[in-house]
Order: sequence, then structure tokens, then C-alpha cells
Amino acid sequence: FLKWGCAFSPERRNKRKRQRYVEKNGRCNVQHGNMRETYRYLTDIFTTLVDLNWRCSLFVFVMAYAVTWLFFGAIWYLIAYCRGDLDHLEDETWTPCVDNVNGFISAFLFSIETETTIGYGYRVITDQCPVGTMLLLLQAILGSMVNAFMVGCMFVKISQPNKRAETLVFSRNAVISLRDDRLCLMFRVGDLRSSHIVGANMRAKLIKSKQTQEGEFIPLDQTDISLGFETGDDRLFLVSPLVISHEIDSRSAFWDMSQAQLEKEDFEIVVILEGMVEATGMTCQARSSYLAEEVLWGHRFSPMMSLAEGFFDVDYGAFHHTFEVDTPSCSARELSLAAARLDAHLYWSISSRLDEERWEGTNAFQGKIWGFCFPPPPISKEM
Amino acid sequence: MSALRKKFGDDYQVVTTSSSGSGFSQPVPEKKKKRQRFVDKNGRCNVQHGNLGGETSRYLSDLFTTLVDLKWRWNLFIFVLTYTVAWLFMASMWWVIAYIRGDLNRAHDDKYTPCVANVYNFPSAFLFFIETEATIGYGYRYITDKCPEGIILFLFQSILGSIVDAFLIGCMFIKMSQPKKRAETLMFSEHAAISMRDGKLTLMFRVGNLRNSHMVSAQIRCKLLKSRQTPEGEFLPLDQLELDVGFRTGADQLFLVSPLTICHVIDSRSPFYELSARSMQTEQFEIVVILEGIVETTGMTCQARTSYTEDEVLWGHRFFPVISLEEGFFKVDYSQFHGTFEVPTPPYSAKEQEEALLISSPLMAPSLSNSGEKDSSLDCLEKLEDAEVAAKLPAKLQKMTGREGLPRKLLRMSSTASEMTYSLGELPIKLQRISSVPGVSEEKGGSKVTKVSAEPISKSVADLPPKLQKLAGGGGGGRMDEHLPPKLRKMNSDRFT
Repeated sequence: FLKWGCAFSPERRNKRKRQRYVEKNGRCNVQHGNMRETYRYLTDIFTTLVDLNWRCSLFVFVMAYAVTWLFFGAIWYLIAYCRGDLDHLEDETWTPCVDNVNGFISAFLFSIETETTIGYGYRVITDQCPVGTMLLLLQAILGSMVNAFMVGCMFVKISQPNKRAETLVFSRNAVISLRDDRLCLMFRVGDLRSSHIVGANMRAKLIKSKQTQEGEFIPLDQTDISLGFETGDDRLFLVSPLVISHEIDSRSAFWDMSQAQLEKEDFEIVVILEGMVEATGMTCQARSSYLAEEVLWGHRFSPMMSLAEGFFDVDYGAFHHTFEVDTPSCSARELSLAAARLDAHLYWSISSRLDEERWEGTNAFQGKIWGFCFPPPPISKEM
Repeated sequence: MSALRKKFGDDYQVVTTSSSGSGFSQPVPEKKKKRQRFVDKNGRCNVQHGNLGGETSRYLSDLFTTLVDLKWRWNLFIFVLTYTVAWLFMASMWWVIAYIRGDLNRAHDDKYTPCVANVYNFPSAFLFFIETEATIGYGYRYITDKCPEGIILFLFQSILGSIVDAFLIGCMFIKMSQPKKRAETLMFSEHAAISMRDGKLTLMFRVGNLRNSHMVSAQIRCKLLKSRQTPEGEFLPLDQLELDVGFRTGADQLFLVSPLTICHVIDSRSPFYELSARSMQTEQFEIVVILEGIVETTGMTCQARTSYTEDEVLWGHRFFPVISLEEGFFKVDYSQFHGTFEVPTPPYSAKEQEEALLISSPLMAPSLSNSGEKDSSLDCLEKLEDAEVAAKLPAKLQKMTGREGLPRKLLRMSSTASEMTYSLGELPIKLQRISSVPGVSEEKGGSKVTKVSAEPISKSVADLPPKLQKLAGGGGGGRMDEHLPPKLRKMNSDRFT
């Protein structure tokens, strides 16, 4: 736990590369260790098999078939051996259990032909062999079961919905700027395919270690970032790239964060997009994360969509592109206090304890920003 | 009604609101007899459906679910039974055809064309049947074209064989890929713990995902099972109440990669509002936790369940941290997953803590009591008939206020000023520290508290905690450390310096 202190103390942040919880492509950097109850993995054997990577899966596939073939081939050979068929190979009057089985290789071939139901016919079972009949029954049943299981596993592995997440993209950076007079944290999400994501919804979690008043240290504490849960704005209609915005209000974790503080902060925002793949109806999940240094203060996303002849054209070259806009460098709380004070016609400078020098001309900057980007607010007319 | 009570009465104590006050003077009851759980720790539910009467036909109408619900051994038994018995029956039909036609007597007659070549006794008929059914088709035994009834039987067998095959293989596959097996690799902590977090009493338990594959749309729910009797006299056995683990804010949607501690804040809306360390020993309840999510690989929804009875809820404990930072990844140590350690926690319920808060700021009393509603005061006074509340107030605070009659007025206020008490949630812990640290700040505590209350009430509440924090931080922080295990004490000191 000394490492936690090192990793998260502000002075040393630049010197030590911060360990990410979630990579940009959605993979999570967590390893499970010291697990004592390994029987759980065996009880849930199906998921264990499907979760394996492709090499192991193919290996298991091949092994399942090869082992059953060999096993039954050995038993057929054993039957032939015990009955004495192998000693009477040249004997015309002797009816063996299986015609033309004269060694282990032919027994093995017979076992394959039976289990895969090819049944060429050169090697045939005769009716003088009740043990053989029963073994044939058993092999037919078992063969169909193993077949079903393997084909099922393979099918599930091929049609995994989480592969759909490969064609869902998130912007490289998140930005903070003003929207409708409020500071918003924004990022962009896009769907590269023409097929839709049904029931898409967006969630975000803030990962930040914290210490409670009682002295409990909670490493990587997850808090919810509201992307419109109450209003239903988190349910997306994702056809063209959308800019998802989190309005920094009094309940947000970023309420007290100014630009200078953002440079010293250490957190991670994990964004999760979930929805159903239109073709199969299976739910998939795409993830990404933004570290504090990947959040740009005072930027905005470049527009990507333009109107062409009969359709809207989306230019993915501009997907990650941002440009700088004038944004107050105070926190959202200070901005709301300033707005309240303006409404009350009281002028005194906003004292942000961290960056006093930027606040020489409070009203001047506000006039500047509004003149630059927005129409003048109605307050100025009253003044 | 009384019969119901008798069935439940031994195992489940009916909880009433009026009689809990008498529990104090009695000694702690002897070990209760082993109680019957509704849900086991592994999620299995102890409910059997009996006396269905004429409803059993429903199970046969929904044959597919019935088959999939059976245990594996029954499934395999039915599978093998279908194949052998049905096959024996159908094979005998081929034999019957051969018998009727007279093929059996003319086995070695080269000029005679039988129905099926080389079938001249029952074993060969059976072998022919298997070869056709399993589509092996060796070719030694084959059907000839001189046999119209054989052709009809052949068609019938092929179609029926395909249908039965598909049905059984489908059942087998569904049974193998059941998403409920995924719940085996979702783990819950053995115990739940109650302690203070951010000044509020919180019920916590831990949930973990043992695999690297994710649970999509993971959602957690919590139900409290407690038998109770309504004022109208209706006895509700195992009544289910919802425990809020983040439904309102969307915090119940989990991002479950490393073990998470799920918190239920005990506030005025919680059924545990009046639960204290002592009342937990006499109460009987069960907390059922349900975690639902979609298995990432198959896209099917699975549900993991567990339950905590009242003896598995530990008062004043906290969970050991399990996640640590390694080189390039985070490591989760599952050996500590169930571990808890004790922390100093006031044994009073959340309700009492908030009342104690109101009592210790007497300035609030006169200004707020003016807004009192006369009607609600009667209700509050009725609630206060039980001496539990008054007796539980720490003696020091009672002395400080000097009046025992005050609690009632303040509680009347508390019903009207619930907003205020909620926002003052930070204060109780500070005052507890003041009162629990004898000798260090007792005299200071008394004077400081009155000093605080003398300040104008219009000052925002948020300013109060910092002062009290300064007051209690020096003494309280140092004392707290002794209770922590050495590893965390060292970590704490690193954070604080």
C-alpha cells in the first residue's frame, strides 16, 4: 500500500507512469490471484471452454474427437482379440465380429467410420456379435453427444457478441468546455458499421482512490458519472457519431475541479457502451477509458458530418480531432457562483484560491467569451 | 391464522414495534435453535412446491423446460432410454416385416430378393435399424425395391429419427450452455459488515467476478426478508422489502472487473433505520442479494444469488482491501476476499445517532419547534413510549442537555425537519468521538458544543463540520489507529503525513 501513496501523490505523478485500470481498447488490467476455490471453474466448464483463446479451443476440439475415436478403436480391437478373430483371418468359415478388421489400424478406421457415421461398408459389423451390437449403440449415442457439444462450442465462440465491440470506436481524448453556459465533460462515440446497435445505452464510472472520514482507504473506488440516467438521455440512437456530454453540476464529482486542478488530478474515467447486436440479438459491451491527462480543458470536437447529395456524409478522419475554444479556467462551482453574482448585480472578483492571477478582469473575460462564442446574455441589457 | 403462526412462530419471531423496549433488562437469550434459511449461501432456494393437484399436466405441456430442468443423470437416462427402447421397438418392426414376408426362412436362397438384403434374424434386423437411424449405412444390409411396406417404414423412420435426434441434441446443448452455470464463478463475501462510511452507517458486502470475461449490464438488487404483522392483524410470513443499493442514481449498474464493495446506506428510508448492535441479537431477518447480468460469450442472462442471515451480519467490521498494484496490472488477492477486521463503530442505530445530533444542538430546538405540527407530535410520542430511545442516549449527552424531556420535542421536529437531519449526517460521528473520548475532551467537548450552538443558525451547515473536525481530529484520529491492524495503520500514517 505504500505504492498507492507513491502512485497518487501529486508531486511524483509525472515521474511515475500511472497504471491504467482499463486500456483504451477496453481490455482490463486485472489479474485474479490466490484463488482457492478452483472447483468453480470446472463446474462452469462450458464458459471455461468458450473463454479460451482460439489456439486452445482448436486443440480441445481436436483432442475431444481424437480421444473418443482412439478409445473406441481400442475397444473394437479388444473385442476382436478376445473373440479370436485375429487368429482366424484366413479362415473362410469363421464369422468375425467386424468383417475385415485385422489389426489395430483397421479397428481404428472402423471406429472413425462408425462415429462420424460415414460407414463405407468395407468393414461391416456382423450379427454374430451381441457385444459388438451394444458397443455400436453406445458409440452412436456418444458420438452424437460429443458432436453436438463441440459444434455448439464452436458456434458460440464464432458468434460471440463481444467481437462487435471492435467496430465501436471512442475518441482518443475527452474534452471539457462550455455548453449552454455550463461546463460539460464530453467524449465522442461512433459505430463503424451500417447495422445498428439496438437498445444502446451509455454509462460512465469514475475510478479514483479515496479515503473516508473514518480512515478507511478504498483503492480504485468507483462512482457513477451521470450521462443522463434520470432523463433517459443515456439511451442512444447511434447511427452517426455522437458527442456524449456529462453536465458538471453540483452532484458531479468534477464540481470543484478547475483547469489547474485538472493538471494535478489523478483519476480514470471508464466509459461503457452496451447494446444488442442487430443480427443476433445478443448484447455486447464496448469499453474505453480516459486518464486525467487525456482530458483536455477548453477544447471542442470538430464536426464530422456534412450533407452530400441525398445522404449525410460522415468523415471519420476528423473523429478524434479537437480544437481549442475560449473556456473559463475556473471550476464549475466558481462559474455558477459568478453567474449568481452577476444576476444579483454585485461585482466583486471571484477568488479562486489556486489561480488568482488569471482573474484580473473577471467581467472582461466573461464579456470576451460571450462576445466570441455566444450572443450577449440578457443580463447585460439590464445592466 | 394461528396455525400459520405456529408453523412459523417457532422459527420466526414476529417483529412488532412496541415490544422491543423490553428487551434490555433481559439477558441475551440462549442460542436460538438452528433457523431455516430461505436462500442458501450458494443461491439455492429452499422452497418445495407441494399439493399441486390437477396442475401437473402443465409440466408436460411445457416438456422442453421440464427436460432441461432435470438433473444431468435423469437427462442422460432419458437420452439412453429413448435411443435403446425406441430403437428396439422400431427394429422389431423390420423383423416383423421380414417375418410376414417369409424372408427369415430363405436366408441363403440366392434367387430370392428379401425386403432388406442380409437381414434374416432379429440381431441383423436390429443392426440394420441402427445403421439407418444413425445414418451410418455400411451397405452390407440394404433395402431392396421389392418391398413397398419396407419403403414406407423406411421413410417414417428417417423422418422420426431426424426429429428425435434434433430434439435430444438441442436439449443436450441447452443444458450444457446454461447461463446459470456462470453464477458459479461469481462470488459473494461470506459476511456482511455494518460500519460508518463518510459519516453514515452503511451495510456492506462484497461481490467478485472470477473470470476475465465480463458480465454485461451487471445489476445488483437486494431484498430483506422479515416476517411481520401489520397493525390490522395480518401476519405476513417472509415479507420482502427492497434495500436500496443504488437504484435511484444508477449506481446499481456495476462495472464488475475487480471485487466491489456494495454499500447500502442506512438512512431514514432504510428498513434498518432502527437497527442497533444490540437489537441485531434479538431480531431475525435475511438479506437476499441478487446479481444479474448477461454472459459476455453467449449473450444469455444469468443470475447469482446469496443470502445473509442476521448472524452473518457483523456490526463494526470492515472488509480487507484485496486489490494491489503490480508491475503493469492490478492484482486481486482472493485469499482476503472474505476477510473483515473490526473498527470502532458506535453501537447505536442510525436513528439514534441522528436524534443525538439534534439533542446536542439545543439552539435548533426553539426555532424549529415553532413549525411543529400538533398532530404528528402525538404519533411521535407514541413511538417514544418505548424507553429504548431515551435509555440509549449516551449519559454524557443527556447531562449536557440537562433535560430528559427534550428528546420528545426534538423528535417531533425530526419528523418535520428530516431534510435538515439528512444534511447534517456528518455531525453525528464527530459528536460520538467527542463523547467517546473521555478525559481528553470531555470538558472541552461540553464547552465547545455549546459554543457551536451559540453561533447563529443562519450560517450554513457545511461550516460546522470543519470546526468539529478540528476539535475531534487530534484526539479521535490517534485513538482510532490502535484498533486497526498494523498493515493498515502504516498505510494510514503514510496518507496522513
